[in-house]
Amino acid sequence: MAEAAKSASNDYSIPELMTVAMARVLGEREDGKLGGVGAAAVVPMAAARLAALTTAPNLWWFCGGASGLNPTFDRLPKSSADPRAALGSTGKKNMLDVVDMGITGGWDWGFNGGLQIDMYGNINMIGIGTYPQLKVRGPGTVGTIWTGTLRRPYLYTMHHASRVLVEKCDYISGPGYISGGTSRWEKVQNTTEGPQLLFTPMAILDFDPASKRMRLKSVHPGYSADDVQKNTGFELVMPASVPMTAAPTAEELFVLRRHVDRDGVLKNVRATIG
Amino acid sequence: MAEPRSKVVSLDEAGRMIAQHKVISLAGSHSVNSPMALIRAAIRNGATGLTIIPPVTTAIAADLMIAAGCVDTFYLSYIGFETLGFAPGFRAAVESGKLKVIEGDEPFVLLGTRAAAGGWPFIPVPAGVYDGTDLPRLNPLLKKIKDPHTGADCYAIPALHADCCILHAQECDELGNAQFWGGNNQEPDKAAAAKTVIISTERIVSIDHTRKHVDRVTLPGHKVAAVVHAPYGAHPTASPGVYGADEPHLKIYFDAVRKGETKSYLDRFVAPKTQAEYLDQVGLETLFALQENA
Repeated sequence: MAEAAKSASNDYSIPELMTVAMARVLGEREDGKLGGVGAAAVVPMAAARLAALTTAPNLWWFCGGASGLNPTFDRLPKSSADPRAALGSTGKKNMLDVVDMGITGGWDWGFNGGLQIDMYGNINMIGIGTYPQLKVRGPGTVGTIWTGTLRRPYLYTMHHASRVLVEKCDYISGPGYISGGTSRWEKVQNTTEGPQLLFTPMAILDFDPASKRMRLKSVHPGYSADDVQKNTGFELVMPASVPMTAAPTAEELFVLRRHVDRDGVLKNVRATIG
Repeated sequence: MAEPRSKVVSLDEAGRMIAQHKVISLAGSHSVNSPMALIRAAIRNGATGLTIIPPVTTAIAADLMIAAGCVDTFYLSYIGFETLGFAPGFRAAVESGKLKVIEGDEPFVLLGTRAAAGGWPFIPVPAGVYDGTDLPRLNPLLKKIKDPHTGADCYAIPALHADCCILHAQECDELGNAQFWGGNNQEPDKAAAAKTVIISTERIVSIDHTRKHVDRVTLPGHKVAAVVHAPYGAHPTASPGVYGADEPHLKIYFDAVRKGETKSYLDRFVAPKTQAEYLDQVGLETLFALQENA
């Protein structure tokens, strides 16, 4: 297992690159829409804050745990539950509101991760092995259940490895495209679009429109499509040519470090490969 | 003129009260506002065979009780130490077959608590919330039913009643009227879903103070059986507006349990009988510094 953050360019860390990439997508697709980030979500939390300052000035975003809407912290907390994550919010949502909106489909977008993520974008927070005495006991489903009800789930992992990106999850706690094709909509509410993208320390991936199998979309600077495939536990849909993820610009890094993450938390978030 | 009866008891007395119960409910989120002094007191007083209904996210609060061997059954939504890693006590207990887990999630724990608080036998949710997941297969308490009005499939989340709910408040008067600062307001339903409520607080305030700040009172005290004055009672978790989480301490706990050295942690930090003795172990310098991260 390699520490990806250590092998990144001297100019930025991998978590910083991932943050900027997520913020661009929020700008392209979610400006004016309401979404949220949950537990252990320091990178998406930074991305939503950065997007609100740059690419998506009309974003509505909920910082789960601390429960603030549109917080304006400039010292990124390590946890979304840290009370400082709610600094400067324009409103709060209690947990019952969050669940009500999860059930009624009130969230436009959200970020979720998993112990395992499979080729159809299903995620597993339950565990690995035979239930109940699992070989690896995961932390529990928590809000990953909402990948079935929120309109556009975005997935992320800080560990790009074959043990994380698996052909089939041992258990599904958050439904992606289930077994591909149209199988998702036989199970979940049909107002939802299913997982949009997966952000990893190596690449950004999307899903083939028909088969719903995971497809390589862009590779971060310093890695090749072959590197990504070698560290993925199933065969990726591989376009004829795969572009490189655009590196963060000087301005993006300036705003990120000056107005979102003044303490440099993203320089030390753990990101691994293999 | 008659005066109301104070509910203030010692930490040790509260620990004895908690240890007499079987189904314990907690609030707080992740590493924020967990009733840690009450939890340590319950462990010292021999709490055993407990069923824990945690908030939708928890960390050391439930993990310490599990690592100390007090818990048989755990209603799971999320337990973990975020950037530090998986909850070590929970993980070891499940992987060695010592802990029964009810495989839940946010709506299961939250709406189950809401059902118990409101006297509803269960709360139905559309089948689409769960049909794409393995939860109905793993959790027999999620039962598929028909909506009697439309015939649509639903899952019934059962009411999750607790014997005793333990909470940590930033301010509370001697009658149990409590203010919880920060957080996402799980406390009122947690309290309503329990037979009895025990509160620790940073500061016991006068009833006049409660009257003056009534808009900030989260939980009226009518159901509260006991109030404990426990400054830094949420440590090592954060107490919003008072102090931040003690990350180095959480790491000490995390490493000790992961290495199988739970006993050394318990001897040093759980054995001290009073909150003052516990805080001596933590140290004044640390406690002062944590106020800068409130």
